[in-house]
Amino acid sequence: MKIKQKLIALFLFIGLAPTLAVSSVAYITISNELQAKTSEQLNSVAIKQEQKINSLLQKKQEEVSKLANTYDFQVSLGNYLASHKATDHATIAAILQAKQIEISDIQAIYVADPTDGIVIASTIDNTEGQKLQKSDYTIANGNDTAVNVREDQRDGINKLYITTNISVNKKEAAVMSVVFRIDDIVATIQDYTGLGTTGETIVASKEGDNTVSLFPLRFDTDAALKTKLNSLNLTANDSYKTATDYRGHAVVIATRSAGFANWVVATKMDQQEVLAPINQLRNSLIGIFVVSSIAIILIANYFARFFTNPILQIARTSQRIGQGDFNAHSDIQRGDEIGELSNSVNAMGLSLSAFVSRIEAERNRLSVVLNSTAESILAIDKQGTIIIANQAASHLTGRDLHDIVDKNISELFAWQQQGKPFEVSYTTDGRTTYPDLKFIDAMGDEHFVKVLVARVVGEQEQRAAQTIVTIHDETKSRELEDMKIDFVSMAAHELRTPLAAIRGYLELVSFKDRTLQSSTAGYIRQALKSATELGGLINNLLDVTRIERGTLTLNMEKVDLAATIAQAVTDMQFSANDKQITLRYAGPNNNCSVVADQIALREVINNLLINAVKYTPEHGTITVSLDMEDGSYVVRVKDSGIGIPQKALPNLFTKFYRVHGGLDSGSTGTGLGLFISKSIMERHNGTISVASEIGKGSTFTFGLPILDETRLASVQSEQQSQEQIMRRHRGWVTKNITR
Amino acid sequence: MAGLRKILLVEDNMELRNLYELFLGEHGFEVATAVDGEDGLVKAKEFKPDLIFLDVMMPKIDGFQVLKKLRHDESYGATKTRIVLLTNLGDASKVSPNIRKDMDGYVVKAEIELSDLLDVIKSLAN
Repeated sequence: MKIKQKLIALFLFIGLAPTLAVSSVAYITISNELQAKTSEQLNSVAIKQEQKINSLLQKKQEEVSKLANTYDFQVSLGNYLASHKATDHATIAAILQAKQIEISDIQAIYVADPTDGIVIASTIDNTEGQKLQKSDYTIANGNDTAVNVREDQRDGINKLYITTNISVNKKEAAVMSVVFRIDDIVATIQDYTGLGTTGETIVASKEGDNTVSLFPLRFDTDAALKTKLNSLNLTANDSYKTATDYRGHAVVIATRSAGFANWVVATKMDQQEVLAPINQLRNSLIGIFVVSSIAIILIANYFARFFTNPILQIARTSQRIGQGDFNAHSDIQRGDEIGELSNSVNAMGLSLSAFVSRIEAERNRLSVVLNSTAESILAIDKQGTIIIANQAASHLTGRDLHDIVDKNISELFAWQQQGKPFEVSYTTDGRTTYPDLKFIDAMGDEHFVKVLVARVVGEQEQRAAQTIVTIHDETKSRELEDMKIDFVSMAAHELRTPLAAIRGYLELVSFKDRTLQSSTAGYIRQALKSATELGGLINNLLDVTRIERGTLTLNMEKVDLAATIAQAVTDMQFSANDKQITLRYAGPNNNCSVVADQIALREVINNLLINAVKYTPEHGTITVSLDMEDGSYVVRVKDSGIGIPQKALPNLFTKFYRVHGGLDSGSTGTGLGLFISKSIMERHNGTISVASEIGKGSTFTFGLPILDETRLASVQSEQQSQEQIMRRHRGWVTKNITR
Repeated sequence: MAGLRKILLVEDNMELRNLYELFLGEHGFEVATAVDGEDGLVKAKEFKPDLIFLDVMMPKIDGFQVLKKLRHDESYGATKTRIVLLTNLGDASKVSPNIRKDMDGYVVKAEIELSDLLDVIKSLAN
């Protein structure tokens, strides 16, 4: 709920609650009063009606009684009862007719036998001997008269029947039934109700559970109404009760027991009429409430706006500041708290502006750094969607930056490694490097790259960079590298032919001319040795170029490792002897089969032996051993040489690495031998490693899997697919066939 | 060296050609030389050698083409002649299967000693 609504609610509560309480009390009080008054009114009418009806009936009974006790009538009736002469009928009838005229409203008079109701005499002609209705000659025990109201069957008009006993000589002799018109009673009831427009008086007779209406009599003639009358449940002396009347209206009723028979006088009014004043009061109150509420709301609204308008203005200002419009300003000039708030917000906008400027400057600086970096940098989220990319990435992929950001990284790069599709996993726990990858950019150019995938460190939101992908484009350096390899390869090849000639001539001289002076022969041997070394260096260079191009091909076959080592050690004895080094082979001389390229394997062993001899001082020892360990043959070349510094060990097998540094050190070598050896061992699924201690010597170890018959079978089947098996030697190969 | 007496040496490098001619001549072989591929084809027809040392990298027609012609053109009379390639590539497994089929062996010039030539001839003569 907003402040405005709260204020209105508060005002309404304060303004209306007391009024509501007072009004409720007043309403309830007045309502009760009204009920009491209505009850009193209804009762008083009922009493009056009852009294009037009583007195009317009293009068009529008295008249009947007087008639029955008239002297001549008594005499005539006595005569008749004594003699039963027919003439007496006429006499009685005449008397009755005379009396009828004296009393008003009498319609007919019957005198009948009290036991069977047979008419003795009547004012109506030709009714003697007829039988009266039972109610007209029956009088309840203990009563002198019976009063009935019913329809006269002769004319269909409601009449009052009063029946009384006639005693002759103090003996019940007959009954007299007098029929009155009841216009005066009905008129009485109708004339004076005193009950407003819906007021009505009902006179009813209670006969058991049944209520029989006497006035108005319509309830007795209409079966439906008669039933409905019962619903009023008229019981004597109810001062005030509510009910539903025969019309279905809600009514209030007061009843009084009449002083005779089982008659009940009921006065009733429509509840609607009774409640009319209170309803009017209620409507007035509601009207007052509505008007008051509107007034209060208007006033509250005005007050609320006094508070909320400036607050809303401040809120809008804050919102605009939030959206980056730091010049937004709310110009509320007030000395109160709201004025203070406004000033604070304005001040906040200004500080934010300064702050954001600083951040933007910082971001621009970062952006400059990012975009000046030669490496392509891509920040991606969990799904691989690119969030940030730098200019280098745009350049690398040949796409505009906006064509990179929000794309998935897998759309941009289809990696290949050695000509086959390659999957880079962009999720990593730390950092993963993928070297030697290739992809084709949007312009169709090939790029050789190194990809580094690194996890972003720190707390991360959902839509935040999870991974930084750095792509180092090595295409240029690779092209240079290729050119270098090509150059080295070409140069080496070009060197080989003249070198072959030099060596050949030197050999020719040393073989042919046996008459040379020994010193000259020595010179020539030295020259030959140097030329051979030079050939070895050139071979190493060529091997390296082949390794780097991936074109070093090996002829795998079954090779006896022990025999190969034994031969290599024997061949090296000459060089070892020159330095008085003890070179020993401690191992079997045959029956250690591996799958290998004979020449390459020999090269590895030679490299290790040459190094051992080179770095072992005079009188040192070199021990070569061959053992079986964990499914592999393990060869160790252990020397008592100068040793290798600990920090040099990790780089020992890398290209051009030399322990003792540049050209000024005394040692010779290209720094290629161990690199080539390692590459060859890798191609053989073998291992090579070194352990060393300064001053004590080094141990080079390489291992090869013990001959695996299945591998040998596959190697051999490949060889057999070539037409002939070649006889291989260092430097030459011939086929053993007949053409 | 029974059976392989006449050797044709096709080599464009003069020093090496002279060296091999000298060496083989001294060891009793009858040696003819050719200075390039075209010359080699002519000499093969005229000289009818038992063995041809054929350089690969030569101007005009290279050794591979010469080999192909000698093997498949009977007019040179050399379809059954022993032919050994002289190379500096040192990696014959790279050459095409047809060449592997046609040649009888190869020699990496920079990696042999002169006496190896005699071993090559000996291994082919057996």
